[in-house]
Amino acid sequence: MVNAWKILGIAPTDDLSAIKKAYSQKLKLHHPEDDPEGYQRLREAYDYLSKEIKKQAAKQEIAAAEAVIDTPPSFYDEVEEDADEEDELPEMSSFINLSYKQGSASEPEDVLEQFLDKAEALYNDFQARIDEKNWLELLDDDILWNINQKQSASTALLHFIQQHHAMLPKNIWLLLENHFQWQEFLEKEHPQVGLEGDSSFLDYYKRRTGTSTPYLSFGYAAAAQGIDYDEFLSAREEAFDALLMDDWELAESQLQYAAQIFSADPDLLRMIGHVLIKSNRREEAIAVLRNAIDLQPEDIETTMFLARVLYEEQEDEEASAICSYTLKQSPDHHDAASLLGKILFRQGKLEEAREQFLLLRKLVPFDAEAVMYLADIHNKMLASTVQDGREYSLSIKELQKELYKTSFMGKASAYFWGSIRIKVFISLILLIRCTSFFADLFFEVVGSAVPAETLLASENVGPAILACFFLVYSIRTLFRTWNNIRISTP
Amino acid sequence: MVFQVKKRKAEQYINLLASLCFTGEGAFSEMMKYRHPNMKKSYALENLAESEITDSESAAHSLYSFLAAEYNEEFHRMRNILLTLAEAERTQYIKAIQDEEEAYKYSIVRLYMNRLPVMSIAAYDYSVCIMRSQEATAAGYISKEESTEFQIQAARKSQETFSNWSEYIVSYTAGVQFGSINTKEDAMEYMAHQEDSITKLLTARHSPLLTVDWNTDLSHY
Amino acid sequence: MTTIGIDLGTSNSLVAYWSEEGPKIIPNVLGNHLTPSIISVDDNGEILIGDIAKERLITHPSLTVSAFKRHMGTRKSYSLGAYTFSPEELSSFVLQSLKKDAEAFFEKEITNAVISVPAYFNDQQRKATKRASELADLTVERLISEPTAAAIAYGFHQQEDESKLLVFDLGGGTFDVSVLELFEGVMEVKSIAGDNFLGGEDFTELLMNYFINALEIPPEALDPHALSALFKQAEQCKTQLSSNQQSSVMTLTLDGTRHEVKVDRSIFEQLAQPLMLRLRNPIERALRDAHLRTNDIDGIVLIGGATRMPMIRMTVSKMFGRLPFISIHPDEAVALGTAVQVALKERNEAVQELILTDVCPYTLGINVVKRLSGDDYSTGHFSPIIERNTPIPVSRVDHFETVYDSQPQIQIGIYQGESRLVENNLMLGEMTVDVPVAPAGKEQIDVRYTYDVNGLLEVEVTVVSTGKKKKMMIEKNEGGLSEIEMEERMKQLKSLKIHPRDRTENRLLFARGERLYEEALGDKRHIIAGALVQFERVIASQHEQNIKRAAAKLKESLDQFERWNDIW
Repeated sequence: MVNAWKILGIAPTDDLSAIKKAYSQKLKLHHPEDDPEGYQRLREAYDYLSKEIKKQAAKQEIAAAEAVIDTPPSFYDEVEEDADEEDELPEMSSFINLSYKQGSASEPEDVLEQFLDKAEALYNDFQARIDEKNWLELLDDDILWNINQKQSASTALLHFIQQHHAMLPKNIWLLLENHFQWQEFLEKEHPQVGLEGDSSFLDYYKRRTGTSTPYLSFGYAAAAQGIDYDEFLSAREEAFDALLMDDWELAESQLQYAAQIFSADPDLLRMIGHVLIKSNRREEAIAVLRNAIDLQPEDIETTMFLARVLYEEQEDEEASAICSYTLKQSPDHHDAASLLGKILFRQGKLEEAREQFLLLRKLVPFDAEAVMYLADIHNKMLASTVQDGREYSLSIKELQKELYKTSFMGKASAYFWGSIRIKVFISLILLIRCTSFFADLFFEVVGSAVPAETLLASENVGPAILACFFLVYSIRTLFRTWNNIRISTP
Repeated sequence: MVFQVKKRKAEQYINLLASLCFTGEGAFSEMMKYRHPNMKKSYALENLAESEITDSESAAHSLYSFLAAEYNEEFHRMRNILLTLAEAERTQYIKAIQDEEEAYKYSIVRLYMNRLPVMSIAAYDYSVCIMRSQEATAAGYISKEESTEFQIQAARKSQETFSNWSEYIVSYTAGVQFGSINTKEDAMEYMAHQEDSITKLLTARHSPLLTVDWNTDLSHY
Repeated sequence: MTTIGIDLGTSNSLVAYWSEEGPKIIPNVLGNHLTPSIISVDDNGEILIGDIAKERLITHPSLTVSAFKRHMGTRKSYSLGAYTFSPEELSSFVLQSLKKDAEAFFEKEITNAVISVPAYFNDQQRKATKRASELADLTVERLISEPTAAAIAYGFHQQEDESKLLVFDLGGGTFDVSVLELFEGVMEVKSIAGDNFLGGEDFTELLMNYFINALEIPPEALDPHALSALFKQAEQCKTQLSSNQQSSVMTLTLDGTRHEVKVDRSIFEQLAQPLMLRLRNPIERALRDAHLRTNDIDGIVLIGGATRMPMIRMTVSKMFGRLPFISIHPDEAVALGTAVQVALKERNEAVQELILTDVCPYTLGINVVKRLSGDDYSTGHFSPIIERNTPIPVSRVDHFETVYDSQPQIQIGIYQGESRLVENNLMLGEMTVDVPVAPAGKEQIDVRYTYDVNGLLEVEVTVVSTGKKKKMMIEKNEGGLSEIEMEERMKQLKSLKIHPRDRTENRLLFARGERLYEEALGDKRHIIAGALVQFERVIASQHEQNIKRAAAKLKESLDQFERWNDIW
């Protein structure tokens, strides 16, 4: 920005305070309220120059501070292995010169190392690792309160997490993200810190903290003694990820592997249940789900899952018991209402089944199953009332209304209402006319002395044939009309 | 002669599958009467244009997707995501979705994810496929042979996936709510107008579902 | 024309003016500097504001509302009796009351004001504040951010050569951090950061929850009355622990039984630990954006009532390794600052020397599509146009091009936020411009964002090839009222009766009496009720002298009751 010096109206200098003075002078001429454009230009010049000066000053400080770094180091390995080496990066070198104001005698690297030791100890103790309280304590560590050191501590901790491919409960992940905003940090792909394979860890990290990741329980595994927790957890996570990708084979193998390490984990068992159902091994699934329920008797998801499988296996009693219990706990549970309805329907208890599907329809007015089952139920009720004389809470009329049936008379009136059916009237008239014509002819033959032969005289044949045509026509039309009315749906 | 009858029956079957797409008042009568796809070219052009099909290429593309039951695939993908979450987490997940239409779709998936008779909404894909093929022929975008091929494939797949009319209709209805509707209010409106047709389809004495066998022989079409 | 300065706070509001001796606070009708930002509706439909309403938080909790500042700019609606109000409308009542106090003080009409808003208030929230002022018949000459106001109230006294300050503002509902530099008559805001959901009231809530959990009270057992009473107890407890006391007791009577919970300082600090941890991030961010280290800070200014808590001071010392400055009046600093701003704006001679510059609190940008390779695109990316903490006023322009062939329009989403993806940011508005049909990338648009001194955004889009411009002042109304609807609503509000100012003192006595009645038990209630009935009779007599005397007597009795209640 060549004009910067010109805009400020001074000769190029190293002196920051001179620049500031020049800026403040010019500011009076370009007041932000009066001259926004002039102010913007002035401000940009001032900001640019101040930054340049500061950069120069920082470079000089580095040279003076004797911090020895040639290449961006793998910062954290060195911190842990060799505490003597000065291993701060160029931008952080100025932190070394800071005296830690709180009066503690320890050097910053020592404090950092202590902090990382604490973190490691916490992580290695599985039972402690899954307790949020312990992490809150760690986050209250003094090093994190010192703004200058917090950044390096944060980065160090992140690296630790990454190296160990940490397995943590979701609430702890969220806690860490809340405090350190690692996602933002990783996304900026902080080059100086030299974390290898950043993007895959970023994906891993984002998955752990995303809304589409479940809160899997760590408590059950924690209660077990002497198992390889991390192996178990990582297999379990792999299984979940596989399920998301529809890779049922991989999911099954991972679940089996995990189950061998530890099997009393309800989340694991539920997923095993899904896999077994997918391959139609229903009996095994029932057994597995029963185990899961023993561990978590109040989990509706698992109990309803079991209920569904039992229904498939015709174990109606137990299935309906589960559904009723679920509905008591949460009366809005549409899955339970639907399943209970289906069970009752299968058992022929139409009235009770209807109740369930009405409930379902109230919860979800557009529910596809509700419509279908209610139609079926009303139909069966109607048939049963008409044929066997059974009594239901709905009268025949009401049932018919539910089935959108209209009586013939209803349909007929709908048919004639609104359009003048000329053909019908003409047919009626023709029918009457022709019938009376033939009737006359008949009575003439039967009742009087006119012999049949004279009837076949030419003058009678014509009208007779015509009358036949009209008769056929009118009968056909009327028959068609009747049929149309019959199958019409007003 | 036997083949003629079989062919006619197969045609009836296929047309019935397509006619499920009719909506609104009088849909049931339409379904009953839908023997031959005898539609006007302008009608077909208009309908297809609404779905952004304006030439042979877009028509073919659309028909292939429906034949591959892409809506069903999408349904499954979303179902897998919801499956791993606990019930309370699902509510949270759906609440967090900013796009209203996407949130609605997920809520439909959640509604039906454990209940559909055959965990599939492919009935929607197949019915639409058949209907579209017929429209595409009428509009002149594809040939009759191509159209027939699409229709017969879709019909066969329907028979393979579902075992009876009831299953198919529930799957179709859920599918319409997933693929063709964008808000809960629209879904309720759809059902308000469609309920009678669905009910009559399933229970009326002269319903085509009673005269057309689910397992109609399609081998000679 | 006299312009006033107003601090519209979450818990309390103040009004100030510039005098020859500097900024001064205007007392309200009760003689207090602070007017609680609380609104209540009377049984006969009158609107009650301030101390009176505060009393009614206990006696009529469903007709009283507080802390509505947190919901400014949202669609939240409060129903008080027969009325429903938006947060803006509630704020406008407070502003009206302050306006009247100023008019009584100056004995003339006041129409203009400078109003403070949290630095972290976004565009919608600022607009809402403006709307609230319009509803109160006040023209807003300037919206100034609270930390800046506090800093100039402080810095106005200093006039030192150079200093860098960190302003730590922990108010009732929000936490704001600002880094300012003062030199050569320039007061420069370098950066701001904050947490819109962290304030003194969160600490009070901690104590409330502690009480509830300690006694295992089920949530259903606490009706609005009980909750208000408990809140008051928690507030008192917090205040006591912040002063010399090492412990305090909270009491609550539920269904006749009297519950007591003792809290000492260490318990309070333990409870507050998660909240304290939250203080770190905004401070870190503000320093980083200002390119400063803790060493560079010369002084820390604490404002906001919550900073009286000892643990806050300890924490700040821990972070900066030094003791903070205790500001002049943590509650009054902002209001005094707004009065200084009035003087600055009027180029008053006494403050001619000081020029104030502020910064933009959020990054502003648009949504763009990123090309990955060939025909592959990724949508929903955020392209910043004005980065946060850019000095304002500022105007920046950026160029964009069409994405696909024959693209007829470009749709521009105007966003505010820090995430790379627009779905995580706040959308302020949308614009669509037509572009001539051309191959992808040929057509370009210039998008200019102009952010003015008040923190309001204007967007101008120019189609390069045609030169056609389209302008938009971001007016995203969450409430979605059209102009006509606004006018209607204003008429409605005007027709509402606000409790007459001159009768405030007596009304307050009543409210106080009612509240004490609620808090008292047994015989004492009879006495209080009796006193109130008597007072009512005197008021009905309309005899000025008698009323004055009776009021003084009643006040004395109520003071005594208050003392008794505390001892109990």
